[in-house]
Amino acid sequence: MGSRILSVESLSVKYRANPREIHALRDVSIGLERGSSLGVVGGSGSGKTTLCLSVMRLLPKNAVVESGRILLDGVDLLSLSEEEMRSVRGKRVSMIFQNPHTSLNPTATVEQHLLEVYELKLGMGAGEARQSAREVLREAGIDHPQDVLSKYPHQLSGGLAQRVLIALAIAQSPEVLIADEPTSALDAVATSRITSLLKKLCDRRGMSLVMVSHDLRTVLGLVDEVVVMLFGQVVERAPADRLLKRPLHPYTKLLVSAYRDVFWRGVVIRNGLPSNRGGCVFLESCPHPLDVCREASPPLFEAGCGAVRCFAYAR
Amino acid sequence: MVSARYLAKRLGSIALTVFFITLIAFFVVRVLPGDPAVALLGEDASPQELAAWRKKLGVDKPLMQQYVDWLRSLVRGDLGKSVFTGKPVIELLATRLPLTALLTIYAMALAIAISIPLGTLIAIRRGTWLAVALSSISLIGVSIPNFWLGIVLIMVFSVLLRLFPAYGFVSPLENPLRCLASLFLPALALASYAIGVLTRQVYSSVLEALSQDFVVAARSRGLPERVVLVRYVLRNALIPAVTMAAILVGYFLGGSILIETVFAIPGMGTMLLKSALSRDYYVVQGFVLVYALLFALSNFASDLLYTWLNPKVRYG
Repeated sequence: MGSRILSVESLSVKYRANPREIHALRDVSIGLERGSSLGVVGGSGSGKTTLCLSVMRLLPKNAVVESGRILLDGVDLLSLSEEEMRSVRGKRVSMIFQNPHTSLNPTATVEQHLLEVYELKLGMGAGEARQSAREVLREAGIDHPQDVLSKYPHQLSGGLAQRVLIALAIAQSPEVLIADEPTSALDAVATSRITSLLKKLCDRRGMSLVMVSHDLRTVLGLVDEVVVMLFGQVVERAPADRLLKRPLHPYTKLLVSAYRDVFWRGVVIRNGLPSNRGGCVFLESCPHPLDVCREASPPLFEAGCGAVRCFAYAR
Repeated sequence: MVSARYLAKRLGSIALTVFFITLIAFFVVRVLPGDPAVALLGEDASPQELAAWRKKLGVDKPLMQQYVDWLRSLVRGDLGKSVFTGKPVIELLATRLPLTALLTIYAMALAIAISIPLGTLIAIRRGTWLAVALSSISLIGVSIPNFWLGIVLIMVFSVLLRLFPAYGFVSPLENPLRCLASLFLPALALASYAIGVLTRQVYSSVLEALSQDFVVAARSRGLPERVVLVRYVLRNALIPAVTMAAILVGYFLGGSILIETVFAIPGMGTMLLKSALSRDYYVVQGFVLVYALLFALSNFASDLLYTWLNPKVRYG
């Protein structure tokens, strides 16, 4: 623990989609301590992937960063040139993706994927690169690398393909690993294996982890701190154990009760974007709305070793 | 990669295709009004003279027998003789085929060399005025008939600008460089349609590849943009373009007949046209057969190439 390795400060991102604009992130701030792990939880459309891609500066062309800073070890990534950013990607911050199969080049073997990273990014010779490729695959939990190296992505199982992506992501020894729903395309067994692999890798390498998921289950037990997102906003930030024991925001309460209770007595969360009239984004689904919630969007209030975006905790 | 069984199956189907082509080539040319005797002696020759010549040329026998005789000689590798010059068809092919092949390969090379960079550029610069301008130009290629374009090219580049010779074919054995120069305009005219079609194909598949997850993932590893473009985008985007290119070989073979005529190139096309007009049966049959065989083989080659490019496809 100690210094902040990554912090996102008041980031707002919108997508230009004719005829209207979609605000994917509104004033989002997150912080990641060196060597620690952060879970980002939220439903689909909450802005999780936009947040990840913003940090990598790989947002699609129609995305506009309106305001905010993304500091990696104190340097604002948004101020770097494309060339400087290229040396950050993979080397300092890496990312793994939701669908391992579509994230690998269908026309290249596993070995070609790895060699290209070692040769082009780390300047290794062919022999050294080949050796490193075997080692990193072993580190990603593939015990017999020689069986996998000559395979094409479509010949790999989902779990194996995700391990290959993890190997590619850690090949350049990054300080931060961003995992964007790395297990949502996998079955339950593969999910728990991949999750424990990520934990082991972070511990061994001192790597900091941002774990994104729509499911509380996959991040709890893995991360130190959790950020809950809803409609592009952070609605709660808390240490993982506190969040599970005592959730504050009504949306977090729903997530936790869903997590605890398999037979979740369905509480309906209204689909789609909230009617954006300046009130709280959760207003329409909130069990105990206050008068003020209709008029103003709540700021983040400090509460319970974290923060919560709800007027019920205003002081 | 490709099993022996698959190869055997494909070659067998090519043989079957060629057999059907022999039927078409033989009967279609005989359905045409007139025959070699009329073409030789003229409309007002006496019936006795015509009958004598028909007997001499062997076209008085029943059709089925003529067909079977022709097939028999084909199996022996004999394509027959020209009714008029008496030269073996195989000899005519030997002098004419290389030129048509050269023209077709030249046109294909031009089409590929122009459409891949052009289509990629339009996809990458999508939405800019440059992309709009370039894609409009490529559309022109699709919509202009190639023989007309050939005439326009002659007028502009040969007559007005005097950059290329209008006609006067130079043999590649004589002077390879001047041969390529003399074939440039015909090859360009022949390729114009293919350039348009291929550019659009490359454009749409590059655009699709650009939005794939693996491209974002490659960038997330900080790979140089050039590597992402060539290994990730183009390598995947060119798979459908290759198939398209092979289909266009057939178009080139057909188009070359007109282009050779416009540019007075002594290839298979000019010979075929001349022979068809004079009902030189065996030359027409032989040439049509060779065109069909070339087309079938180029399709086969494209399938092999497709397997080689796309590891997901394994023919069994």
